[in-house]
Amino acid sequence: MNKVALFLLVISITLTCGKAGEDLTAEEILAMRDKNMVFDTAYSEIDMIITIGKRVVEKKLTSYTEGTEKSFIEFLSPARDRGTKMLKTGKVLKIYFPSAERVMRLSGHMLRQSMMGSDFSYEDLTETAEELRKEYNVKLLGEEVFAAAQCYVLELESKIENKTYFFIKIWVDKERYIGSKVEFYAKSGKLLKVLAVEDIKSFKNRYYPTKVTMEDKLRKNSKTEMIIKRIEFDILIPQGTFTERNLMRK
Amino acid sequence: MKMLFKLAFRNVFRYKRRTIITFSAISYGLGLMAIGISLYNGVDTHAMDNIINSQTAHLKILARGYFEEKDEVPLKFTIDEPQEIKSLLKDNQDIQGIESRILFQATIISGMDELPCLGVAIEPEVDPLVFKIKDSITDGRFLKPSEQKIILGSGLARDLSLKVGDECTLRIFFSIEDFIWNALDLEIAGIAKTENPMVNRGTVFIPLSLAQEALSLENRVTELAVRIEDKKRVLEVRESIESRLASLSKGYEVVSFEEYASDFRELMRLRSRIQAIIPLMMILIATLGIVNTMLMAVMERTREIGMLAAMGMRKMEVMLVFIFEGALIGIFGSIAACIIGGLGGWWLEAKGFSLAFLGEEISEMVSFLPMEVYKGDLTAGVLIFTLIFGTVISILASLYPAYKAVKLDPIQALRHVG
Amino acid sequence: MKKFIKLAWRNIWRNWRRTILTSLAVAFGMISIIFTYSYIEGVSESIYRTLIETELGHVKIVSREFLRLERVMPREQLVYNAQSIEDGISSLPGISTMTERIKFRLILSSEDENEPALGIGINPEQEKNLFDLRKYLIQGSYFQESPAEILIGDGLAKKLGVGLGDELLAVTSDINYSTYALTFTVTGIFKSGFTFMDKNFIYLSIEKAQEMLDCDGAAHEILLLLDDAGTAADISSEILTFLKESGLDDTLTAVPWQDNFFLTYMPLASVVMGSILLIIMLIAALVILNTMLMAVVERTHEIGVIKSMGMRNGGIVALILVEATYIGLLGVFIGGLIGSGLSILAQNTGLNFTRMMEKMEFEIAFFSPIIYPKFTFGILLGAAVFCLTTTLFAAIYPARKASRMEPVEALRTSMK
Repeated sequence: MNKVALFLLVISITLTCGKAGEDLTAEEILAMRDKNMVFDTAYSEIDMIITIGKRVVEKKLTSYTEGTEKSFIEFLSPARDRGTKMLKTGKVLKIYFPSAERVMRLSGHMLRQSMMGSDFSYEDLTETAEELRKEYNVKLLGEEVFAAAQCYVLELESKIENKTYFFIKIWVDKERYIGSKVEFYAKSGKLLKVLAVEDIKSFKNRYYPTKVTMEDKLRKNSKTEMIIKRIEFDILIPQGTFTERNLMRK
Repeated sequence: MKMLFKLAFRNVFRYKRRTIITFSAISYGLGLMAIGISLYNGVDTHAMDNIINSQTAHLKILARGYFEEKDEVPLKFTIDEPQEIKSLLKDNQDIQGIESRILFQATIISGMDELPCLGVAIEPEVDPLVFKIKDSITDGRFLKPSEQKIILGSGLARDLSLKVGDECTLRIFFSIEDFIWNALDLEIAGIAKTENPMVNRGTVFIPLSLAQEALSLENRVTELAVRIEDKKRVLEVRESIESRLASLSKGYEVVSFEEYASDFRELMRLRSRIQAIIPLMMILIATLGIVNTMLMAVMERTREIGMLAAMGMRKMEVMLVFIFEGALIGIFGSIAACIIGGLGGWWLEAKGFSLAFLGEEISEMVSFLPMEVYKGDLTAGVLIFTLIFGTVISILASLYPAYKAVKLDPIQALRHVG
Repeated sequence: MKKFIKLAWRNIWRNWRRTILTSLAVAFGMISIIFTYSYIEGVSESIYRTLIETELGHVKIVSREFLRLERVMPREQLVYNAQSIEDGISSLPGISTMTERIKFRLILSSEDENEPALGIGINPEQEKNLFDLRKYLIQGSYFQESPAEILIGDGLAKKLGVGLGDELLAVTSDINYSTYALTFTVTGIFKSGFTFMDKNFIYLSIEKAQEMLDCDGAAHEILLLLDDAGTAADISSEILTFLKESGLDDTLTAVPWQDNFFLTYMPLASVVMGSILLIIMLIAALVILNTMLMAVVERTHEIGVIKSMGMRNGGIVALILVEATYIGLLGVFIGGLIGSGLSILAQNTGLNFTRMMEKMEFEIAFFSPIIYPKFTFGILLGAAVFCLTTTLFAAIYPARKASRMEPVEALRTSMK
């Protein structure tokens, strides 16, 4: 296992150095994509624009993330949400409500429900750094042009039975190795969600999507735009960020 | 003794008019009572039948552990060898049909609306042998095996404004604890309006093979629903199935409709307790009628009693004559009552009376007494009760005045003019 | 005629045992009809009353979408200008109370447990007139001054492990998809006897409910209580006209209580109950008929005597009918007294079935756990007319038959 990881790492380093990428395997492409998406830690400032039917709601939030296990989100606006904070450690989510000055602990299926009416679930939002190649078997379907960029088209199939997003189809940008479009499918093959990347920025050691739109296909006329106004990778997260005391800090 | 009985017998026929009146008090009174009680019981029985026909079948074979958590509709207790069980039970003469089914949690999505519902995966070719869903299709048609279509309960269809031919999405939860789900696009093949509003309000029927695939339950099911020839033999059939299944390694339990629908039965029991006053009233007034008529018949005979006593008959013997008379009239009256009650009850059970005159809305109703045709339920128990009750009451009713009369001085009794 | 009345009076007391027995038959008939009828009325009234109190009001003003998707309770389907609608319709005659409710799903969180619940935001003062929760409080008190009070069902309190004075966190998603929470103090615990309600409902002030959903001044339902429930349909259509003309909100509708889905069950119930009552009446009639027949038949000898003394046929029939009337009236009087007495007694104390209902969890409260039979003067009158008519009718046939007999024959058949 370690050897494989090391091998992949070596390969990915050589590839990002710009050497020939013509004959990449599906696994290698996914690894390249994962490398862009996966980080140890990150801090971001996000605008979320939720559209449901004719209604548009805008929310601003900041987020600290450490891998897929820890995440801390604080809402800045609208006024009703300001000061609401969420701390996810492992499979447990704790939410602090300033209006009640109390913390509620949630686990299990709540995490798969829509977060604050958006098209993202709590998990979609807190587990962005998921390494897809650990969870899915991958197959290269071919190449296609998407949003004026040449893309590999990958098909991912879950390694385990119990997964809501059983199949994923990713259009990986051939130059930057970012999934510029992602389709999430149920096991039946029914399309559940579509994520489209509208803007990609380059950072110190990676590319990262900074403007995406998620559409929950089971809801009619609904989409959520997420704009990452600022993101810093692999920063030193202040001590005590992922603690309950921080949650209740005013 | 024999002589006394003969005397009583002769008396019964001598005083024809009195006999006829007493006899009719018993026969009509108890006969009507029997009809009334079967009408009253009919509500329960037929509501139960509707539940059997649309939800519980007569028996359900479940994996051990399922029953206790049945309200959660769990998927972790599965029957892994439904075909084997079916063939094991093939030669059981009592069984009319066995259907493999899966119950699962789902939501149904149409446009902006999403409603929770119960998914029921059925074998379309077997289902009509066990349930009566097929007969309750009001629009469209019944399912065909493994087609990508569903049958929707009429209440759900109305709430979501869906009709035959429309498409909708079914969100199927296959890991209930984690709420991991699958989603299917399905066309509506038909709308079911069963006589059980709970089913109409929240059930989606889907072909079994489709559900097995969507739930990753290849060849597995959560229950086998069994219909048997005679509902009354349910416990015996259960036992024979249980002994057959004992040979299988995995533990199974067999649950009767009464256990499965225990909530409903509880409600029924409550209803019958709350309304027990009604059959009680019937019994009471029929009894009073008989007692009254008997009392009067005996009291009018004080003079006769005096005569018998004057002729040297012992008090005990006089009483016996009266009791024999009461018993004779009581038995024949009760038999007649059973015939009247039996015929009336049978007619009500066979035909019932249609409630169609109350308008279409009725069949749409949400009630726990789901019926369109109101039928009686005549049981042997009611008739046996009528028979014994009528006889006993007649004897008791003749006892008291006879005793009272016997205590009279013969001279005084003779003086008494009836 | 006067002679008959006197003679009949003397006759019925001469054989007082027979008289008592016969009038007892009539009395039993009266009692059973009155009590059964009152009981049936009581059961159906209790079903109506419960539904009206907890769900329907006499008229409900609500958004059509909320009504359609009642099961989901779409929180944004609100009556936004509740106050102006109430002002607008307050001039309509016959409205005794108007009260608003907000209904929403929420999660309650105690120290150790999270439980989903149904929150009902009410206006405590007005709500009392419609659904008086105070009747069901087993601990604590009704809404006082502090705004952060909630009343909670005893089953729910048990699930959450909370008691009086404990704090609860209530979390919900508001109409703008924000997640909002407030802390409440449990100030009352109720036990209505409806298990579903006791296990799932909390009551809070409508202001707090509006704060939670972020919908100041709005409600999901305006419920009206009328002076006369029978006018609900008319008042509903007047409200509909008002809503249309005022242009306040065209997504709303007004629903009279009779239109409720659940109540369509009631005609069926009344047919079932009606037919059972009919059978009881038939049996009662039969008992009276039988006893009367017997009483007259037993008097063939006596009639023969009177006839041989020169009384005409018509006179005999009249005499027996007057006697029957006396007996009937006596029975009706005794039976009416006992039957009404029993019914009124049961009506006031109620027949309590609470303990039997504990096991059941149905969403819709069909049976109130305490049944109060409902006695009306109409029932008494109906039963009296029925029993008296039956008595007289039962006397005519044997009276005529006896009167037509030859005196000698009548004397001879004395006992047969």
